[in-house]
Amino acid sequence: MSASAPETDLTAKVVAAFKQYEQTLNGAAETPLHAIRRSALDQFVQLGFPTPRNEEWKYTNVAPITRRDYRLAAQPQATDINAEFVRSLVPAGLDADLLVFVDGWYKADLSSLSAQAGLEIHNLGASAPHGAQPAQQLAADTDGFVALNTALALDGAIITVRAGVELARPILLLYISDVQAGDAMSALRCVVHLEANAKAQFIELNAARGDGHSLQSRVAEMRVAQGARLDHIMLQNQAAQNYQHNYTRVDQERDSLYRNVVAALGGGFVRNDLSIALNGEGAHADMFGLSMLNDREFVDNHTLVDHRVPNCTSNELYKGIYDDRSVGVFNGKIIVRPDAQKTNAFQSNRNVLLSDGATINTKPQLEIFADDVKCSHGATSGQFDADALFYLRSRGLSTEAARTILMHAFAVEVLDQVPVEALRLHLEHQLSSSTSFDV
Amino acid sequence: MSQETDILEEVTSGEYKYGWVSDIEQEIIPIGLNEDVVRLISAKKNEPEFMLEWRLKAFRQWEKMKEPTWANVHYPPVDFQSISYYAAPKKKKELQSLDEVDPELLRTFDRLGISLDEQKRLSGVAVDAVIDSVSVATTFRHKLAELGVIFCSMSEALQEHPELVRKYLGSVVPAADNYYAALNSAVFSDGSFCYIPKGVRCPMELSTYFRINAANTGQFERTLIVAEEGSYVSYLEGCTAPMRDENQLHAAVVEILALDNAEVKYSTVQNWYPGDKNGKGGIYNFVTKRGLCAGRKSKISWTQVETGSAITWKYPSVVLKGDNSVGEFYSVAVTNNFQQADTGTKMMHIGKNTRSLIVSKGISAGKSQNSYRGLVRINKTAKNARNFSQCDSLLLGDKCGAHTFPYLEISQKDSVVEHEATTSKIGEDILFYCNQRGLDTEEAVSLIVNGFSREVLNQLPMEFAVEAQKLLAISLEGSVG
Repeated sequence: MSASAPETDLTAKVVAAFKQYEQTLNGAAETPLHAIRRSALDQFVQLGFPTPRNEEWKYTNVAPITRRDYRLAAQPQATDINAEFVRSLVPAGLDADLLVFVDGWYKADLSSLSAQAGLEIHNLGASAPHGAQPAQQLAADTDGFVALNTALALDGAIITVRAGVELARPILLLYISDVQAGDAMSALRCVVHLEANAKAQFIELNAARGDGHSLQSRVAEMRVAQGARLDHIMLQNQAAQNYQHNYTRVDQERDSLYRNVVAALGGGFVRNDLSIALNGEGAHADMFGLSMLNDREFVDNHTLVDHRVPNCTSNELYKGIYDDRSVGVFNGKIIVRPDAQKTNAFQSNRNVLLSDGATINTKPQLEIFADDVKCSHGATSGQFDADALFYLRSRGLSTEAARTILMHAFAVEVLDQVPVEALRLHLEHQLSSSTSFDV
Repeated sequence: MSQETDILEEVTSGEYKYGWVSDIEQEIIPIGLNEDVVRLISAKKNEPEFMLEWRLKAFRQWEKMKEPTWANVHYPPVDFQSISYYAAPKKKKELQSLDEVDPELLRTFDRLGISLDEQKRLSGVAVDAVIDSVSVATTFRHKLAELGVIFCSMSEALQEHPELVRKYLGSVVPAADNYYAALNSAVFSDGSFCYIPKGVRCPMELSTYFRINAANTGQFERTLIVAEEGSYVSYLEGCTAPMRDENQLHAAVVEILALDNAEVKYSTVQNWYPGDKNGKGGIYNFVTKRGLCAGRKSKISWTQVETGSAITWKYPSVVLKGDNSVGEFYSVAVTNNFQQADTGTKMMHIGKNTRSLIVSKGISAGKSQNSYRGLVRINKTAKNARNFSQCDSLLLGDKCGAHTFPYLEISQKDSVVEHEATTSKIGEDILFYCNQRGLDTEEAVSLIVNGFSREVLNQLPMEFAVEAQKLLAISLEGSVG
């Protein structure tokens, strides 16, 4: 092992857990998938957890979340999480196929699948060979977190939607950490493939049971083939002791459409990396994000849109409302490659600070190597419009009520982009209940 | 109209026109850098003891530092041991007036279009000319002295006003601020020093002209501008260099300090040799410029037109410490052929009600790479701070790149920060309109580029604005069609 970076305790722990897992493999240790995992582990040990010296982690300090003594299971653990608890997590009125993972392991007994035609779901743990290919794609690039995930994600979902199939029901992926008995860390991997002209909606929801600290690492690789459309919604509303790192890699082919909506309404540490490669002409990517934080919550949204071919478009809108001592980070990068003429890329990041302790660090970035393009970005930070507040107050509303209405109006621009109605209502309800005044 | 014809003529002839070498007797110290060199420079300049210590301290820090690599520019590593750190026109005796300056030197400045003589008589701009890091002539000194304005070379300032230099040098850009600033602090050979006393409005524009002449030398000048309470000064800076095949290093530091109600306007047209059409030669321009609005209601405004240099690495910044202070940054950066520019600004809001404005226009042509990199930081203390940034990029050609790296760090709820950036090429419809009005494409592009840059060019003093417009046209010559 070529160790160079100083090891944190967690790094040592990860290595130990990996070795322990390796011993349980017997003959399977020589499979290609395991070779990938082993080299990813080496890579992780070399890279270590990212530090703020790494430009992509400039505003994001992971030291506090990597210092804890997490339980790290190399095998599915017994859990008493039951169907009732799972039901309590599912947004009301949402009719979806449900895949439940506890501490990174698929739980068939808690999941409910309706056997939709044209939809194939495997879990990575059971059908390892499928996982080999995709894991290889990511192993080389990015940072320590992704390498960690490649090494440790022993389970996850491999989902294929067959050509031309339009799924009638969304798929809800529920990631639960069981931290009743103490801190726990988990890693899982999702591989999604929408074949030509397929249409699907994916929803991801992170949750925890118990008061311990959780750290969830999720890497998703999504392929959206020609003419396909994928809606991808991420719901993140956890407590201060819950941490998560999500890395999403999307490859889009000709005339495909991908839409990501991330609603980060809470969490002690949330890092979302969204990297989209537009590989076929006519592809379009939409990215929307809403962060609404208070206390000492932290959310970091990193997006990268790589316009590799001509005639693609991308559109991005991230909004944030930050109260108390919360911190928001936005980093949006648009790359237009030399041949990607006629690119149209738009990016906007709008923030409201409600308290002097709150901070927003934003870095909208354009890297453009083609000339016949239209690219723009805007970033703002400010308060709610004083005139609007005054108008509402003159209509007899209290300052607090007026603020809540404005906050709601600010957030709704993003929530309106959620294509599943039950979810949209669920989010609006969460929004109302997180503000002190009910609109 | 005649002006436009001028532009056209220049465009058609447009190579780098400042690329000649003056045949002046020069004194150059051997290449290489160590403590002895720093001591030698200090001794040659007959500097007070504190200055030598300051330099040595900076040098020792520099030795420990690493060359920064974060900028979006690529170049082979600079060998700091193959550069001569001191080159000066040989002085035969103390000069009393311009009449005694080496006539060859004066011809040099004539060719640069800044006849010191003429300037002195006609335009009322006080000029300090720096050649290969050493100030050779300063005009209007005595007239300025009557008002108490000190405008002279750094070396003279060190002899005549050591207490002022000691007090202010490094107060805005500390000796070891960054790699190139530390290098500059250790070896700077000259530069300009301006001191505007309390309540004085400087009656004329102060101007410094920098020229690298000798081969294998680096130019390291240091400019210090101090504006006391209620004073005002407008300062201009220009620069050129001969055409040489090897790259030359220019690592300057500019410090500006503005006290209560003081205003400093700093304009520069940077036209260092950008290298030839194949990217050979050219100046590496690694410069640290920073202003400190220390006083209430003080104002510092940077205006820059960047057309030269093979590589530009430059971020004129303003630290807005005084309440109600104002910082401005206007920039046009043009890159052509193989030029690379990574330039922008930093606005650090510390005081209450501080305001900043950033207008940056980047124009890339040929195979060049043009990056805007800026930071706006609103500290917790900067109540009611306000920033607006506009960064536009124009692409002329499909082999060049335009990049934007804005950083916004905001920790104050009563602040308003707005940032906008766009990137596009010149619209076919606009070109077509110009063509059908009888302008050929090159003229049309020149017109459009000037319009695109107007907001910035308008900030320049008159003489500079005309020069800058011509420069824009020349820099882009051959990039159309």
